Order: sequence, then C-alpha cells, then structure tokens
Amino acid sequence: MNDITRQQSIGAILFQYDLYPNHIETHGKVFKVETNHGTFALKRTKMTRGEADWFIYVLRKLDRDGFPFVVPVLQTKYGDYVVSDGEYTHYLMPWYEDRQQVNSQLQPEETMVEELAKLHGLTEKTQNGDRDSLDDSYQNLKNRWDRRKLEIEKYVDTIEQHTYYSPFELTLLTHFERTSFMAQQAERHLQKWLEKSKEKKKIRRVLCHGKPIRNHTRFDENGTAYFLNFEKAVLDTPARDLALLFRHFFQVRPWDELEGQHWLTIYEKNFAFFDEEKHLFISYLAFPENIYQMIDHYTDPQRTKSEIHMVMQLERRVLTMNRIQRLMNALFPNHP
Amino acid sequence: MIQLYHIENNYPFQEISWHEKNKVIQTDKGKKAVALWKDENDLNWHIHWREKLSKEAGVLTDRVIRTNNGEQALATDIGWITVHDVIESLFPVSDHPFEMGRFLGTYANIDMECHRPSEDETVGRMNAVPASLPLSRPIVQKMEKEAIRRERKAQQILKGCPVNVNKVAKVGSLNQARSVQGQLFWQNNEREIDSSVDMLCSCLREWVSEYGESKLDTLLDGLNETYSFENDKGKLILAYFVYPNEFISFGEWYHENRSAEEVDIKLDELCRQWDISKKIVEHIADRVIDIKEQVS
Repeated sequence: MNDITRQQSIGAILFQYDLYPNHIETHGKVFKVETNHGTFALKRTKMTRGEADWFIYVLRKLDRDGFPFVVPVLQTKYGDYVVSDGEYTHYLMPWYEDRQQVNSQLQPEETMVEELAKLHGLTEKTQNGDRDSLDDSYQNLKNRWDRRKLEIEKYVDTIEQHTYYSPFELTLLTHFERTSFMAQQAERHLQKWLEKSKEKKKIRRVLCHGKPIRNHTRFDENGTAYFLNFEKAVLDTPARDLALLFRHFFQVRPWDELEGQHWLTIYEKNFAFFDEEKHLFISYLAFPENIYQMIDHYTDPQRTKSEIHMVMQLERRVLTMNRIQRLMNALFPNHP
Repeated sequence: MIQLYHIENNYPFQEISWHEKNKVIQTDKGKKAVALWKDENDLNWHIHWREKLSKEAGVLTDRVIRTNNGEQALATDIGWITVHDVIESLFPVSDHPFEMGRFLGTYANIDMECHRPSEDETVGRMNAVPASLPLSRPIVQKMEKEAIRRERKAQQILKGCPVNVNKVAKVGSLNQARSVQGQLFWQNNEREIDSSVDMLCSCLREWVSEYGESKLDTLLDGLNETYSFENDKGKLILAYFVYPNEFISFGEWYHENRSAEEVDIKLDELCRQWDISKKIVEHIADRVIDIKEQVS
C-alpha cells in the first residue's frame, strides 16, 4: 500500500467516525490523528473477524463490569467497535498522552500491579475443575516444557563435543546446570498446583490482559494507569497474567527479590492468590524459557546480533533467573 | 413532518438546519439524509439490507447512524426516523469496471430473502409479445417478427432452469456509486425492492448506454467473479436480454392516437434499446456454457 492509498484508506476509516484528519503521524502500528474534534489514536491490527468479535466481547465486558483503568475504544457512527479495510482491522481511541513524570508516590510498576489485580478481581469466575480437565491442562504444559527441554539438551550435547567453545557456548554451559535446576523447580511447582487444585476441585478464571507491558498503559498526571491493547486478552488463570507482567518488569528494569515480593504483596492486597495459584505463578516464572529463547536467537541463521551482544544478553537473563530463584525461595522457603 | 428537535435531541450533531426540508439536514458533521418510515418491517428490511451490503461487499454505504442511545432508528409519534450519510462526489464507475462488476455481483448475491419466479413472472411474461401492432412502418414489422424469434429463444434458454432469485434494494442508477476518499460508497436511494436479475440487467443496460462496449468485458469479468455466468444464474441474465422487453414496452405504450412525432421519438428509443440488448447478448453469450448455439 503506497502513501496516497494508505492516506485514503485511513480517511475512509475516519469517515466512519465523522472525523476528518488535519494531520496524521505514524507511531508504529498506531496513527496519531489530529482533527477539529480532538486528537485520536487509530490502531491498525491483523485481527481476524473471529479475533475481532472476541476483542469486542472483551471491551463490552470491561464496560459492563465497570473497570475504569482502560483507554476506551470509540464506536463508529454506525455503532461498530472495529473497522476492517479488507487487509487490516482498525479501532479508534482518544489520544492519551503518556506522562513519564507523575504526581504520585507510587512507582509505575506498583500502579500496574495494583490495577491488574483490580481487573482480575472484577472479572473473577470460579469453575468446577474436574480431575480430567486439570490433568489435561497440566499435561499440555508439561509436554510443551518437556519438548523444549529436550531440544535444548540436544543442542547442549552437540556443543559439548566442540574442542573450543564460542563465548556464547561457554557462558551457556557454565550456567546450564542451574538452568536445568530451574526447569525442574518449575515442574515441581506445577505438580503442586495440580495436586492442590485436585483437592479443591475448583479453579479460578479471570480476564487476563494477555500482554500487560508498560507500552500498553498510559499514565495520566496523577499517576493513574489506563490499559490499552486488549487484543490478546483471554479468560485464564490470574497467575498467567501476573507472571507475564513480572517477566516484563524483570526485562526492563533492575530489580531484586525484595521488590518482587513487594509487587506480589501489592497484587495480593487487591486480589489474593490461592495457594495453588501461587505455585502456578512461580512455576511460570521459574521455567527458563528466556534462556532457551536466547539459544533460539543464537542458532538462528538469520541472526544479525553480534556474538558479544548475545553473550551480554544471555548473562543478563542468567542474572534474572538467579533473582527469580531467590524470589522463589523467599515465597516458598520450605519447598524442597 | 419531521421536526428538527427530534434530531437535535437524539443525535450527536450540532448546528442543525434543513438543507432540503424533510429530506436533508446540514450539521457540524456534514450533510445527512433523514428518512421517515411508517412501516416497521420496511424499516427493518432496509436497516438489515445496508448492514449486509456493507459487510458482504466490504464497501461503505449509507448505513443508519446511531442515536445518542445507540439506537438504529428513532421512534416518534409520526413513525421511525433514520439518519444517513449524504455523499455528493460521484465514484468514477467507468474507471473501475472490474471493481464495479464484482460489487454488482456481490450486491445481487445478498441473501435477504429469495423467491422462485412464478409461472406468471416467467412463462406468462414470455407470452406477452403483441401478436400484431397496428402500425404500418416496415421497421416495426421487421422487429415484430424478430421479437417473436427472440421470445422463443429466451424460452429455450430458460427451459429446465429453476433458479431462485434474491430480492435486493432496487438500483435506480449507477450514479448511486459515490466516492469517499477515492473509495466506493454506495448510496441506497430507493425504497423499492427488486429482483436481483432485474437489478443486474438494468445496471448492465445503463452501463452500455452510458459508457458503450469498451469496458463491458472487464465489467463482466468482475461480475463473473462474484456472480458466475457458468450456471443457471447466467442463463437468467442472458434470457432477460434475449427476451424482447423493449419491444413489449413499446407495444404497451403504443395506441392509434399517438402522434407521429411521439412515435418517432419512441421508435428511436426502441431501436437504441434493441441495439443495447443485442450488444450485451453478444458479450455474455460466450460466458454462459452450452448456450451459444441456442442464441446464434
């Protein structure tokens, strides 16, 4: 699509909102649109019709449940939440400027954790967890992890044959024992989740944002965060969403296990985990997928990053893994 | 009579005034058409039609604009009011023959309700060629003979062709194609409901009348993508043009008290329409399987 066609396509989409742009700026997949009726964010996505239907369901649910920390999606003059141009699906929001400096004592991470807990609390539903479905969930995740471990072990076996190791290989081999240990711990906690859930015969599902990251929130001047981009939202265990958020924090800022515990305390003030959910949460965090992904990147023939860059990134992820281990030990001091 | 306060109080517009009393308003968001519906079924059919057209054809169209409460129509003591976009710039249809063909085929395929034409509508109508017109002009006499032949051919084509025909919103003119940012916006001007075959045939006739034959094949290629000629639907279209509709209309119009001048004008028009039918048949006969020998 060339520039003129794209402008026309955007114009035809905005027409459905009775908006006529004075100026359009591209910010990745978002167009910032200035009009006589205000400034708006037009998001372009590859959602299919089925995904768009689910997305609309999620928006309506958030509205019905009265969750206030969300950037609203505006309807067209015909009452549609999304507009398709045949190639992309679009939706429109008011433009929320993201404040980096806010009048609040709380750190952005604390606010995000608190608001995510509120989302989970508002949308919580308890279901009967029969043994078969719990076994299925457990087995699916375990099989996926087993496959990943096997792939990585095969790779490690191969590099162990080398006479000389590359810097990346050497770093990996140095920390591989601990990586395997964390994978075992993840499985133990997953096993614990299964046992406790079977005893309880109940599971909780909440509306998970699906991709809770800093870029998917907008902070106002008072430090209130508004979530956007519910395209990956799912009904699932709250442990999954919180683990995703923690993983994101671990990657974007320095932290230690005390801070990790502090974030979890904030979460649990608003939405307390059951024992089994806490095991599941830590098992998600403990499984060393981030280290495995580094191996995928390193062995990718299309890799563009240098060896030194890969080593530095791997070392950072090893540090994170060690912190997760300390967080795990702090949360479960008596767990073998 | 529609009162402006109905719209001021219920729609997200400001600065409202009549541009054309009871039909078009001027607002801060441009011109909008206002329609009053007395019959609820009629209203629902047209709302549903526009929704389906937009979804299935993937084009912009004059769907109903929601009220402030999210309603599609505003119930008042005089009937239901709906508000629609008004687009003035015409879509250059002749520059987009393939796209227009695809669109018209999709339009014809929209399944609101379909019906199988009754005996009266097909065979009965087929017998309507006047036996003999009391008009002693050689051209009319020649046409009369040819019309009878055309009628027989049309009947042959239709034999064993049990096709269901969709009911669609009538198309008054291809000028209903408007342009929003270079994209097709279809303005539904008519309240009448028409058979999809009659709609397609009237559009093809208008196309040849306005733009000649130069882009007709491209239009038909586009049409064939969404409304295949290679089945009974194609035979229906072909039979429509083989059948001497224009001659029958002339016969219905004519009586002995018509002046010579009136007859001359009408005859010119008959010849023009006859010629258009012939051209269209030449272009579509090849596309309809196993049919060429029946019309040649």
